[in-house]
Amino acid sequence: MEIFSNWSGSMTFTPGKICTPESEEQVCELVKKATFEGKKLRVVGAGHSSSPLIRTDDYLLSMKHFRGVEAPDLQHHRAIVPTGMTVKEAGKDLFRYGLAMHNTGDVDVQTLAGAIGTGTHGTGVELPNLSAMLYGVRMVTGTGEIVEFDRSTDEDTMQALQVSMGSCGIFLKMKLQLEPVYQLFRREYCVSFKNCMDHLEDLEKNRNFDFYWYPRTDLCKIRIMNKEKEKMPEIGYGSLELEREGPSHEILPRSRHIKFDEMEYVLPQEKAIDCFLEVRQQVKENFRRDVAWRLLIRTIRKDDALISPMSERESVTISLHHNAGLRFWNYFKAIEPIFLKYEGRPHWGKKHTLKAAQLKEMYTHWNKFQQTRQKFDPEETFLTSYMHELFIA
Amino acid sequence: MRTLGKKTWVIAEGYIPEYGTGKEPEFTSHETACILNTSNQNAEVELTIFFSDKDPVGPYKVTVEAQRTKHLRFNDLKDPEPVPLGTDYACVIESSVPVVVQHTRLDSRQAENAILTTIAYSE
Repeated sequence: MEIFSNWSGSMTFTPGKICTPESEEQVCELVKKATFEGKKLRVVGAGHSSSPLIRTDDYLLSMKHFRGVEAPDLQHHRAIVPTGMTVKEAGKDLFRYGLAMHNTGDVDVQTLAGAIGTGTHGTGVELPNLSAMLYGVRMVTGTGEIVEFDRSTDEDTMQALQVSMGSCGIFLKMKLQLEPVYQLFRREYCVSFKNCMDHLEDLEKNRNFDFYWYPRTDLCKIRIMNKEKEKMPEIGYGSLELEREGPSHEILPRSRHIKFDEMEYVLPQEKAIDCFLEVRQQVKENFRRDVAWRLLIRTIRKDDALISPMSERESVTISLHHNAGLRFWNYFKAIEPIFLKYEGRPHWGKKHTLKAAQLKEMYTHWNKFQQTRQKFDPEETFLTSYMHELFIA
Repeated sequence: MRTLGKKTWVIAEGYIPEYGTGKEPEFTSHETACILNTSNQNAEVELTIFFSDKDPVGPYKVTVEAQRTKHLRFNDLKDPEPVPLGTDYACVIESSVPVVVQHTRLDSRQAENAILTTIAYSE
């Protein structure tokens, strides 16, 4: 029996068995075996998520042997990415073929399939989350059958599969809608809180823009990226902290050597700043004693995935961080009601306390998603107790 | 310039007030270790924080470049964990080369700000 621990160390469990299939046939056999035995099976990526999406007492399956970009299509800017690859590995491999992802998150250590399946995102008002790249998928259903779908013929199904947390099937390969390789210019500035707020409207015009707010200094760090150097604004009201340029897969992510736990909520764009100001006030009044980590505020374009946190609304995310190993729930649980008051939806892969009763009220197409999930997983092989709490009750 | 100072320093009286008065970050209540490295080598510095009611935390690692000074705000330390505000603590500073350490506290809890500064104990 091997204990599994996620990246931050805050989520541990002992799966009955960890499996590392090397072929599609082996994946099918494992699913059929689990279904026959009435056991639960979940797929683990890089273990970066800190919600217990992958927690199972039975089979934990790693797709780490499924690697290597296939079938690069430079005409339509598409390629097939097997699901064992991390965001970083996929970015490097795609670059070799002249292709690039439209965006990535702040870190690139997750598997790309996990990032897509949880609606993980980067920042940019015109840029949807990573799941928007999912053009087609080849997957193993809960009955052990291999099926394929793509957006040209199965739009409704793809909208359900796009953000589905492995609940409809095990993705084997993903066909992604990509872009030709591109350069990015990046600058980061330290600015006062007031200047950050005063210039938000202009700052959001950059291709990628987000900002950190530091609770113990009340300063902000703004981070700006553009494809064209001439579009990089001169920030006269801040001090330049970092300047870089290079291919997108090298410039978008930052390296993180300090581990942390995180709660992130996705707010309607028009309510996000009021929400942030209330969160800031709460943090300043009650949590500066113990919390030094910054809050991160990002923008994301809406999408049409059924249970994407950005589904059908232009969005802004606010994330709280606290050092891994320290007690975080007191802090996170105190702020969560503010997020909910402003109609926030939780990031599926990060800390939150919500269950199905609250979640289903947040998504117009909740029932439609559940119907699709039940169709592909009729024996509930992927529906662990946590997933049951999340989706059913 | 010759190398001045010692490799081990101790700040026995540490305390960051929980709140302050005035514009931030200029008037944020804070404590600072001002570390001067007059040598011609980088100083690899490790700080360990001691508390009255729990085990020490550290090391916090910083580099002070050759012939430079670094004013290190304890408020901003976060790796391996933040130094709690409003809490008694002490600090042992160990450097790879001799340095000079001066300790400063700005207490802005009242509008009439108070500043305290002292040379740390060295060995």
